[in-house]
Amino acid sequence: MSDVLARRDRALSPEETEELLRDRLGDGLQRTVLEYGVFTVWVEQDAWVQAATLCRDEPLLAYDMFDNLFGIDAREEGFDVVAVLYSTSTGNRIALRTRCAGGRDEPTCPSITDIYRGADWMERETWDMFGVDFPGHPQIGPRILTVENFEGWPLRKDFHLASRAAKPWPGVKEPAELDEDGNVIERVPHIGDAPGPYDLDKAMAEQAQAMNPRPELDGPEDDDDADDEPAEVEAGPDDDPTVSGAEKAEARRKAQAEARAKKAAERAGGDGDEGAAQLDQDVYDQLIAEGKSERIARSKAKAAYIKAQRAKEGDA
Amino acid sequence: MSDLETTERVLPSNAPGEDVAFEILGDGDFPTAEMSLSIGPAHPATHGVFRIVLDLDGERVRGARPVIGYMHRGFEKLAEYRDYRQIAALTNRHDWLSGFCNELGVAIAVESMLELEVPDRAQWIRMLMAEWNRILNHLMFIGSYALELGAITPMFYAFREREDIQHLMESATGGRLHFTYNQPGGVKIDLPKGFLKRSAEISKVTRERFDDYVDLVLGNEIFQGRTVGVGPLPQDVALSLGITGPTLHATGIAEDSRVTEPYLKYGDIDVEVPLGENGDAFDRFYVLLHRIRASLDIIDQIHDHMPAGPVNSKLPKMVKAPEGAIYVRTENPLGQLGYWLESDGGRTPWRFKMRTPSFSNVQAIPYLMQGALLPDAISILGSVFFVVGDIDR
Amino acid sequence: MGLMDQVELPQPVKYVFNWGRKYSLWCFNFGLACCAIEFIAASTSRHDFIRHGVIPFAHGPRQADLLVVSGTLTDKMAPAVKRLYEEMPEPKYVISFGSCANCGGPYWDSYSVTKGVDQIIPVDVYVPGCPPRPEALLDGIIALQHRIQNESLKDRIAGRRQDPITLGADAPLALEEGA
Ligand code: SF4
Repeated sequence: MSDVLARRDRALSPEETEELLRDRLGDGLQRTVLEYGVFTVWVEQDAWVQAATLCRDEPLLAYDMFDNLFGIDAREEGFDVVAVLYSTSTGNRIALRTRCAGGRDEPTCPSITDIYRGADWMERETWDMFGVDFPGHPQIGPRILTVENFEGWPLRKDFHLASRAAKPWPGVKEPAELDEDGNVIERVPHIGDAPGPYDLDKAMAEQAQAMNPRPELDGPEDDDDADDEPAEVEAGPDDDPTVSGAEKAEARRKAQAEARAKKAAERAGGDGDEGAAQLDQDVYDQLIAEGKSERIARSKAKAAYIKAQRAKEGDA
Repeated sequence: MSDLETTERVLPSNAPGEDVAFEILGDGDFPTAEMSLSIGPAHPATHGVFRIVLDLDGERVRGARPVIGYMHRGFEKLAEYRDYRQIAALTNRHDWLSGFCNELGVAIAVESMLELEVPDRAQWIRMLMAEWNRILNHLMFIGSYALELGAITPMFYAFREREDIQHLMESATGGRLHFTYNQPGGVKIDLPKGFLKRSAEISKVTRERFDDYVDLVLGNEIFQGRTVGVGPLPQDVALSLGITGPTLHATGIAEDSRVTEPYLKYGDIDVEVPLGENGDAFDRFYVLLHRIRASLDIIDQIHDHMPAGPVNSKLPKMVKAPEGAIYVRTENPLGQLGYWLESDGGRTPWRFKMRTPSFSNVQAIPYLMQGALLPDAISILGSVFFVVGDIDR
Repeated sequence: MGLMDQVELPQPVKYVFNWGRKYSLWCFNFGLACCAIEFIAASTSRHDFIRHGVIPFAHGPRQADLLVVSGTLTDKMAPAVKRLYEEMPEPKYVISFGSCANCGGPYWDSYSVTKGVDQIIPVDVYVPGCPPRPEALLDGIIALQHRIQNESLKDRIAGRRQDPITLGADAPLALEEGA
């Protein structure tokens, strides 16, 4: 066994592998896909364990190395689980893929920990990230990566990042949200949909909700606490200086920047001295008295202030 | 009084049906109390925020439960919110000792999906950087593993070399730890003038100093006493757990994706894979140390091959991977790193799964610790080389 | 320390006292992520912050004066950091090293990262960078030392802290008031 690639010349091609698996699994095998050099075999949920056992024990396949197991969000149909196996003797790799039973509400997938030990933590991780249950797993809980009392399944697509809704991208632009010409695409914010389990996240989501509706294009502009909240400092994972190209986009961005600067100047001039006081002092004091942290209190107080302001404007 | 002549055989509970057994001295009458010892999350021996709960019977470890997640930063979710170029900056940071090797995987994945032609020079530069990064990583572990076993000097030696190499890489990439030098289609800019000369010099010096490490650590009697025969790992267990990198090579399996599935230009040069025999802590360290020499050999070959030419290709303004899924595996310093990139044709990946070597490797710890003595627990823990960010992502 | 938090020390005594304190900062490195590697680099021979009187061998928080939080603080880790901080004796100082510790850094939108260590413990010096160079840490240490030289021990022990220093923004100021 220590001879790596000893049987490379006898390795099965994807077609032969499919034939063999179809012979053994029958209808359990749904279809196979070969793209970008990845050979994916879709199997029925019921054949999942059998397929994994076969891959390990069948001498022609001999997938002895367990590489990977993870979940994928499959939109309305629930979740997929993928297991990647590798054979050190033939150098082949296979990805087994199945759709979990139970749809989005109670996804389950049989455990393959008895076949490959490495599946243990991987299945725990999949449960932690997607909420896919693995009957037969020795101990799926407690949550392996997130905090024990975390609420929600972070990698599901309906889990939104609260901080992202509450704060604009701190960098210069949001490359993920530019179209081909570099123009900003408006996104529909899912504000406060799923704030994290922590007070600060909730408070930020609340503040964001109060700030809605946002003026278009400029993005949320009420970030006048940029100076006193260190979290607003540019985080800079965006390191990509090359996007600017089309002059149109350039000009547009400049105009936007100018408009923003003007607004900021107005704000600074207009209510400069009460700039710091743009929050509801009563709410703030009360929260502080309750022992909340300063930032949480500030976020909430700001939300309250904005709401009050809106109400006032409405009356007038 | 207990009878120390008799022995008891213990089967590791997580190894059903395998004929590995540990012998326990004595008949078990010795009055010991079961206790559970929690090490970490902030403990010097765990080099990072890693926690492990040991169930002890006297000095003997009955079971070990690693508790991970203290460094979970949600990379896979964040990647779904960043575009393909930004992801490189993110992947730099999960295994923070091998930033360059990490970003390589993303670049290769995106290139293969877009069918981008990467200029030759860029590929050789990538290999050169990846090998230097590998040495950087291994030097760190040489220092820290020796430190955990009680020797502080190797750390200073290791950092002497590290500073030189970091300085070299910084001159081309601008970063000391996180390089972000790759981009789909090549590398960001060409090497600065005099880089290859400097690189050759450092390679020569490092090679000379390599013997110091062998003498200083590997030849040290105390070091041998604490590692030889400690925590052996059988081959089949290693494979079934998905263990890769030095930890796998120590068991004698030469599975290294630079050799078995060559990417970049690794197919054009000789890659030596140092192997161990028993898979114990000593072998793991031996392999790690000799991988430095193997990498230096590769670097020398790269110097001879380095062609002239462009280093990147023109990119569309918005990198969008076509629909589909790809799995790219690269040989990271600590083992095989796999990226499963599933795209729905948008600007950001639909799913970006990182198969990180440390995550799989650390799964071996409960197996290795079962039946070990408490002092050995530290040398086992240190010998399964891992980076906490790489476990938790 | 019953007296010291009530009576201000006379100036010459204070000078000598603070001078002694600032050059023997026993430092507890709370290495969390990548930045911890740069912290280690700062402690080894090339950069060597021991020459500035920072001693990185504190065996635990109870023996330390200075806590350097280097790296990403996650929600799972936060309680441990708070507890370590509380174990340190007054007067104690905190350097937040790296963007992650300052504000969440590249993970500003993550669901599991605490956006800044200042949410749970007070910080004296912020060192920006991802990761900051070892030189930046030296800079931060010097800024902190200037602050220690000039501060009133009475206030410090009583828990009254001055505003934090952000390197790059107010470090030159801090140096000026030093001397
Ligand atoms: S600031 Fe950057 S280098 Fe430091 S811990 Fe955070 S991600 Fe890593």
